[in-house]
Order: sequence, then C-alpha cells, then structure tokens
Amino acid sequence: MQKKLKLAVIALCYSPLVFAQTDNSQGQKASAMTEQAFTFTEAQLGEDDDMSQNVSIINSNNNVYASEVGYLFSPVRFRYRAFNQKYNDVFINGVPMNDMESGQFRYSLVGGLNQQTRNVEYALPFESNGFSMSGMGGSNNYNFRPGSFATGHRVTLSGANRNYQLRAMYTYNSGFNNDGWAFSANLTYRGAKEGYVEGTFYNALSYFLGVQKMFDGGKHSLSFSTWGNPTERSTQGPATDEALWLANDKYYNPYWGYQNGKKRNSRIVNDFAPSALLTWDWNIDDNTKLTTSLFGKYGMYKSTKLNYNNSDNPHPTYWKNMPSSRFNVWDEDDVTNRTDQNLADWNEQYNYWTSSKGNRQINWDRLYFSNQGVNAQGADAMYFIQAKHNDALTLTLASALNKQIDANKKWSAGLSAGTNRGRHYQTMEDLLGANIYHNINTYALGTYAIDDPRIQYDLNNPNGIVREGDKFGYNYDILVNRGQLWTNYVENFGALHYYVAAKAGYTTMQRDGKMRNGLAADNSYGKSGKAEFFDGGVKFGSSLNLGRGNTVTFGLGYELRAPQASTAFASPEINNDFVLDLKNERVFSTEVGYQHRNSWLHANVNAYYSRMTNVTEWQNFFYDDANSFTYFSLTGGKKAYYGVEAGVDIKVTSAFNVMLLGTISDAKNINNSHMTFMESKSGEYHGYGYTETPGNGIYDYNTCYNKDMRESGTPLTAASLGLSYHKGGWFIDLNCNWYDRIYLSYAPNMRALKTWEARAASGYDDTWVGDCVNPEIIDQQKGHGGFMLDGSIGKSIYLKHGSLSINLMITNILNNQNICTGGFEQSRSSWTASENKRAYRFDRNPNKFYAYGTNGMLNIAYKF
Amino acid sequence: MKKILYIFMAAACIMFTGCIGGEDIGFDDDWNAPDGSNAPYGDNSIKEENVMSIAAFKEKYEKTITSNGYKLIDEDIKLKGIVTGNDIEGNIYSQIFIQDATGAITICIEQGGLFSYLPEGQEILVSLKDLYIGGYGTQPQIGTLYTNKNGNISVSRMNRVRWQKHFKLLGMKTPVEPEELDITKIGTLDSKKECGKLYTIKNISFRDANGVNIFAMDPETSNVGDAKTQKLLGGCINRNIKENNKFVVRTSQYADFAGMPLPQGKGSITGIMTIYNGTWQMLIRKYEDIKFPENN
Repeated sequence: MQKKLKLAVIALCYSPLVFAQTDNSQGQKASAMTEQAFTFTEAQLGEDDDMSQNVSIINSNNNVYASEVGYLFSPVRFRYRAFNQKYNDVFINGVPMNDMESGQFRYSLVGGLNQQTRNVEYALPFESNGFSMSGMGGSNNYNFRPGSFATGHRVTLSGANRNYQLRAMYTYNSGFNNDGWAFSANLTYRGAKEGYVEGTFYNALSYFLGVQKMFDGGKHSLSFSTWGNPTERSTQGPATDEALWLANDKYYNPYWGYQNGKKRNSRIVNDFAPSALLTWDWNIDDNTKLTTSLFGKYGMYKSTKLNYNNSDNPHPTYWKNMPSSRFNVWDEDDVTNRTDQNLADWNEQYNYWTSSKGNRQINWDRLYFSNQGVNAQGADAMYFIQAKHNDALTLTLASALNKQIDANKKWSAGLSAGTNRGRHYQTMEDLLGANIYHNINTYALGTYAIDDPRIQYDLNNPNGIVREGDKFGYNYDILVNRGQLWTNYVENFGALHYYVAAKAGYTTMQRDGKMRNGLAADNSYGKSGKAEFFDGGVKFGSSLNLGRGNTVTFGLGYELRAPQASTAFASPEINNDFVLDLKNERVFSTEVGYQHRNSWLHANVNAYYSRMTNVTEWQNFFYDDANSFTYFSLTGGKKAYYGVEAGVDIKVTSAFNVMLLGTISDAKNINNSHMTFMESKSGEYHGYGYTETPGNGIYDYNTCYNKDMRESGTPLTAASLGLSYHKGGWFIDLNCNWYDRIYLSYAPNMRALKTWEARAASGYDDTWVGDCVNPEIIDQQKGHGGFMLDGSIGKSIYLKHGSLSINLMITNILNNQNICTGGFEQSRSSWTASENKRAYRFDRNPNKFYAYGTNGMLNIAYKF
Repeated sequence: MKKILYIFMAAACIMFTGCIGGEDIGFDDDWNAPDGSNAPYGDNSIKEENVMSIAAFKEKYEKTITSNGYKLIDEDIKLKGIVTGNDIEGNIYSQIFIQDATGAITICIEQGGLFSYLPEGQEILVSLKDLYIGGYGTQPQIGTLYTNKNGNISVSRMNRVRWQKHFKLLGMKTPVEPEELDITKIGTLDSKKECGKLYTIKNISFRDANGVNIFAMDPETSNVGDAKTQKLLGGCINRNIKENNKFVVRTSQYADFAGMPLPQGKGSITGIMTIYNGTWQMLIRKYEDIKFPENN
C-alpha cells in the first residue's frame, strides 16, 4: 500500500505528462456526491446576490479532478478554470437556463430542490452531450421529468450553522403507474433566524410539482413541472481588514443595526421565479428520440439598500468612520496626516468602534431622527431604503433530436429560441420616517441649476414625488431574443473516440426606457436601436485508448459569442446607448489530457488553454477624480486562461480510498482594454471613442492598464488530499484542502494614466519610476489562502420500512478564518480633488470576504 | 388520488411547523419608528453649568482670534445658542453657526447632513473643554487643529465622533430674526462683535449678473458664462456686488444653487456674515434667502 501511495505522489508531483479524460466522452449521470455537493453549496453561498460569488456546477465520472472540485472547493467559491459562470451552461430537460442578460445560471432557480437536481447529465468542456455543444466551463442538463425520479417518499431534516439553520424537505415521487402516469411533489423549507453571519436571516420555501404521462406504450411522453423558490433573506456586506480587526470578527456585517432593540438588516433580498416546463419526449424509433420543451418563467428579484441624500454615507464602514482615515498608518513620512491631532482622532474613532457593538452598526435611531428633522424643514428624505428590481419574463422553446446511427455512431441536433424581457427599476422601499422624496438626480444638482431639466430623472413627470412603493431613479426594460442551432456527431473508430460539434446563433438586444432622463432627453425614453449578433462555434473532442487503461484526450474549440446584454449598454440607468465597438467575443479553447485507470488507481492530468478577444466588461461606481458616480465600460479586452489539473484516486482497500487533487492555473487579461466612462452627474462620456475637450480636467482615459489583472474571487492554485472510508453503511470522509492565489476584483479607474497623474500631483512621489508607472501601485490586490480541513461522517440504516441515513458534514474543522474568498479593491482615490493626500489609503483597504470558520450540517433522511 | 392528497397534507404540515418566526430579525416589513424622545445625537448628560455668553467668550479669546492663532480651551466653558446656519443646501459645509443674544460663532464639524439634527432654530448647549478656539481670517472658529501641506496650523473641523461628545440638543426655539442692514452702512459694522451673525443685506446688485453667469462652478471644467475668468478659493467663488468692495457673496461650487444664474437688478440677501481679513463674506444658507425682484 505504501508503495502505491508513493507512486501516486510521485505521479502527481513529477509527471509533466498529461493524464486525463475518458474513453467515453459522453454525458454522464450524476454520482451520489451531487446531492451533498448541492447542499454544501447552496448552504454556503450568497446565491447570486452578486453573481460573481457563485461557483461552477461541474461534475464528471471520468475525470477525478472534475468530479470532485465543484463540491470540494465550494467553501471558497471555486470556479472551474476561473471562468465566468456564463461559460458554465445549465439546462433543464434540454432547455437552456442561463440568464439571458448576464449569461449566468442563477442558482436560486433550483434552490431547495435537492432531490430533483440529483438527476443530471453533464459533460466536461470537451465531452459531447445530447443537449448542446458543450460549454467551455462544462454543461449540465437536469432531468425534471417526474417519471425519472427515484420513487417513494423521502423526508429530510437538517440542522446547520450556515446561511440557514434548519431545513425540512419532503419529496414524493410515484413512478409510473399502470396507466402511464407519474407524479412528483416536493416541499422544502429553509430558514434561519440568524445565519452564520450576524444580522442575516433566511426564509425560503421551495416547491415542485410535476406530472408525466406516457402515451402509446412509451412512444410519447408529456411531462409538466412547475417549481419555485420564494425566498427572503438578508445579506452580508463587505468590509476592509481594518473594520474586521476593529470588530474582532472576520464575518462582521456592516449592513445591520439595532432598531428598537432588534437587529434590522438594510439589505433584504426577495427572490421568486415561478417556473413551468412542458416537455414532450417522442421516441420516434428505437434509435431516434426527439425531445421538445417549452419553458416559461417570471423572475422577481428585489434587493434593498440603504441610501442617502444631502448627507454622508450612513454605513458604519464609510471610510470617514475608519480610524485610519484620521491618521496615516501606512506612511511615516506623511507628516501632514500624522500630527498629534491626527493621532488623537485615530484613537477617538478606534475607541468608538471598539467600545460597543451598536457603534459599529447602522444607527437607525439617528437615521429616523434626522428624517424627522428634515421633515420639519420641508426637505427631502435624508436616509431611505431603496430597492433594486430585476424582474424578467423568459420564454424558451428547445428541441433536440438524438439518433443512434449504428453501434459506433451517434448524431444529435437541436434548436432553441428564447425571449427575455428584463425589467430593471428602482423603488422607494422605506422612507424611514421621512415625508417625501423627489425623483431628481442629486448627483447632477449643483452641476446644473435647480430648474435645469437635466437634473430630472424623468422629464415626463418632472419633480415627481416619490413615496414608498414608487419607482424612481431609473426604469427600463432590456429585451433579448436569442435563437440557436447546434449539432453533435459522435463516433467510435477503433481505439479512437471522437466527436465534432457546431452551433450557430442569432441574438438581438434592445433597451426600452420608461423614464425620460434629463441627461439624455432624446435618448432615454422608448426603445433604443436593436443590436444584432450572429455567432457560432465549432468544437472537436477526442480520446484515444492506448490500452492497459491508458487514454489520451485532445479537444479544440473556437467560437464567436455574442456579448451579454448586461455589459452591452454604456449607462443603461440613464440612456439607450450601446457600448462603443460592441463585438462578438472570440473564444479559442483547447485541452490535452491523459488518464490511467486500473483496478486500484484512477488518475487524470489535463492541461488547458483558452483565449478570448473582444471581451466587453462593465461596472459602475463612484469615482473621486470625476467627482461623480460613473458607468465604466471596458472593451477590446483579451484574456488567457491556462493551467494544469490533476487528480489521483487510489483504492487502498475495497473500503478505503486516498484521493489527491490539484490545479495550478492562470486567468488574466493579456492586453490593456479600451476604457470609456460616463458621469452620472453630467451625462458626459470620457475616454475611448470620445473626443476629449482639452482643459476640462478629464482626459487620457482611453486605456485601462489592466494587463495581467487576474480573474478574481476564486483560488488559482488549489490542492486537496482526501481520505474516504465507505463500509457497512458507514461513510467517513476527510479532506485537507489548500487554496492559494486568490485575487480581488481590480478597480479599472485606478489603472488609468490620468489617475496616476492626479496621484503624483497629490504628493505621492512613488507614482513614477522613470517614465513608467511604479508597478507596485497597479499590482492587483490579493486575498490570503490557506489550509482547510473538511470532514463528513454518515451512516445508512435499513429499517423494516424504508431506510434512514444520517450524515454530519463539518467544513473547516480547524476553524481557519484567514482564507479570503474574494473581494474588491476600492475605486476611490487616496487624494482629494484639491490634490492633497488623504490620510486614508483606499488602495490599501480592499473589501474582503472570508471563508466561514467551522460550520456544519446534520442531515437525517428517511426514505419509505 | 389518495396519495396526492397525502402529499399535500404532509406538505402543509411541514410548511406550518417548519417556519421560523423571524419577527425579531428582519421579516418585519413595517418597522416602527423609534420614538426619538431621547435624542440619538449628542451627549444628553452634558449639564447646563458654566455657560458663558458668546460675546464674553469671544472677548476672552480675542487675542487668539484676531491673531489668527489657536488655543486649547482647557476649562469648563459652555455656550448656549440657537443654530442660524447649517449645510442645508450644501453652501455652508462642515460648519454650523450658533447665535445668542450677544453674538455668534462658527463651529467646525467634519460631517455631512448636519442640518437634519441641527436645523435653524435648534437650541444647543456646546461644551468647549478640550476643543480649540482660533481665528480664520479673524473669524472665530471652534474645532480641532489642522495642519496643512505647508505646516501651517489652524482650527478646523473636529471629527464626527468627537463632536457628538460636545453638545446637547436643547429643543426648538423661534429661529433668530436676521438683523437688517443697508449695504451703504456696512462700514459701520463692528466685525469682532457682529461676525458670524445672521443678517439681511438690502439694496445690493451683483456686479456680474447678466442672466448667464452663475453663483459658483469649477472653472476648470465649466464653460458657463464667465466661468473661465473665475478663481476657486477654498472650493468657493466670491461674487462682488456693485455697491461695496468690502462685501462679497461667497458660494461653494457644491452648493445646490451653485448653478443658478446670479439674479439681476437690486434685491436683498439673507445669510451668515463672516469676516475674512477685513472683507465681509456672506454665506447664503439656502436659495430662498435671495430676494430679488426676478425671484418673486
């Protein structure tokens, strides 16, 4: 055994050779791990509050590495190959489910449906599948047909100390009866009075109802499923290391505060997307099957936020509340910001932060008191809770034909057509005791006179009065239509297995403004022009069986990919403009792999390389040097993703396995992007594509120097050693995971020539090294990695009636609270408009999230 | 069919027994407003002892003020005054002005939204011990020390946390009536006594008013009217009047009314009269303080 272990370690460490994939690159059924994986994942993630916090849904039976990482590394929100989730395709009964605007799958769509999502067919990037041309980040097709679920009743009760504390689930699947009917039902409740993070609660109900009828002796089947997951939950805010240190809590949450002695969270998400799916399966003959589905969904997503007007940001983490905004703790030479008074002020604010918990949370009492004060003066609300709404009506039709031509050849083809109307608007949720608010652009007020039409958010209803429930600020629809054709051909040719796939698509997108914004009076109300994109791609995947369990694989793909509507508009909250130079993204991807499989060893090594050009990205934030809230577009970007992945599964005894996994990868920009931004205070554009007016103070913004910026929020280096013992109904697993090279999301405006000039002019003498910018000041901020030990123990017991399984999963047993899962750099300047150094260093204070400390879940499932 | 009924019964049971009562945390959609009877701003434990009149206080520190120096207030002195000026429209910023029967003074506070709890007419008690008094162009200011790039020290805004320990809200009073003054009499004002007080200056006309030129802007980025000929001084633009060259209307580029055109003709303006090295600088608190024929 020792020898085997040693061999395996040597193999993992020294083999520059490439292990890999599979002699069967077909889509596969889920392993038993999936449910656990899903539970782990949903219990720990933010569920797309900010979708970048999601993980990839990836699984495999052939690849040791891919089969484990999606689940194993989910505590740090691992993304497969660091790809954006839009490259990770999710389908249900063959219907594409990725959001049509962002391209990303919303995990909450299937939240709480753990039993239904066990039934999944998946394919790695260069494996073929029967429902699409496989995505670069993997593809998954959930099967929601009631007749294919495991029959019987199942009750699951779970207790956890994660986002939710309690989960109760009841599932019933009838299986087909003699008349060809099958029924399914599921009800799940998940809730927490207070989740792992202070001030967060969770309340979610999930339902699933399905019926399937087989006709004509199984030749036809119709199935109808409807499900939804109404959820109300509150969220955790990001904070700097300074704030976490002051609060002495890595999970300090600045979003809540005491009101009348109760914890009130300012950020509450309400999410419900009732969905319905009708699927017709037609077994045309023994070798030919046609699946056609019609899917409809109305998503309602609302997320609240505390905002302010005519005042300072009331969040406790507002930079002026931080002690280090008073005294420059970073630079001993900054005498101006290190006086005795500065030090006294640092102490004053330090003492304030640390003397009472209420001091470092939102002070609701003050917000109400202030609003009562402004009422008496006839002024608009100073503090209020607003809500961002993203509602979407989605209709999609998809059809796929699968034909087994002969024993060695298979062909599939399909089409999908979808339409999506995304409604984006902001409402007044709670005026916090204030009487009134007006629908005017307070950013523009001051730049323009009080009676200037340009300060109006809606010229069709100028100076509109905003009361609770009313829309204000912005209101627009994004219309996306997309059609796609695809095909796969799979063949076994002696020892060679290969497939080719192709797809072609057509996308249109358009904005339909519901407010006539004063900054764009002729270009904000009504429909924009329609952008059209033709895209498509081809893919080749192969595996060659060398005999004796050795297989080599190779894959190659190229595609044009329409930009996402979520990045296609320059400043959608204001006007109808598209981003300049909007183009299809060009994506090249390739992979080689080697796999060895014998009675005691299963090993894979893969190396991959992907390259994208014409990448378009979009962000919005407050930018000091423009003294405005801004909408930033980055276009013409090029990115490269490459790395090595390895996995070894050693069967030491029939009950005991040792598994080693690891990846070293990179995922980064390989050129400097074009940059354009619009100021929400004036409606003016700057940067690439716009002629700058000399002397207006803002120029040289054409380029964002983002070369070498890494993909953020996922470890680029990760490794795992796992031990598992499965015998006599017992399951014991222990995994030691190592994460490293976790980058934070970079601030594009801090990587512009003009910003560096302002920095240098403000007395930062380290800005330039000769004629070049000091590389240190544009280095991307990183988070701390580290070890995490996870374990689970479970037992299945067969009873007279049914079976019972008990499972306890503990993540981060050693309570390592220093692993950063991601975060973002601050986009603000460490200098003032009048070119003075600020004591506060925004560039040294990125916002971070940390992986939860020891957390666990106890699951008891009874099947009967 | 029986089975389906069973499913729904089971489902209903889970629903009703399973839900966690979340009222204590966030499920309340309707949060009751705190009663606000105990002011959440300031230090309610400050006692009304050792109260000095503003005039007496300014006199006590006259030398410091007129020499544009600074001094730590190391004894228990309290002032009691009514707020006359605040940041309601962003022209006065990080400052409030309080006035009693004897005079007025500036208090410098590094915080926005002051007007919400320090509205015009709010009476406050200010505890001065451990704060600084100083002169800024001979205008008396209370705050803490600030050292600029060149090493010059002056009294400037105190940090927000410190301020909360130094005042107590006493209640709303009738707002201070501005004293009226004809611009031709401005030479008769005693700057030591009158600075910081609320005044209405009558019969003035803006030198640059032409219907286009605006109160204030950033000359670097603005092209409105005579913007390019203006100069920002401490973020503000000083506008001259025709009648007297020892009086200017000083407006911040961030004031809500900065973008409004200077009114034409003759009219009156109410605002805080501050002194800056011999020049009277009027700070308009809010746009409605400008009474010109065209505004009526």
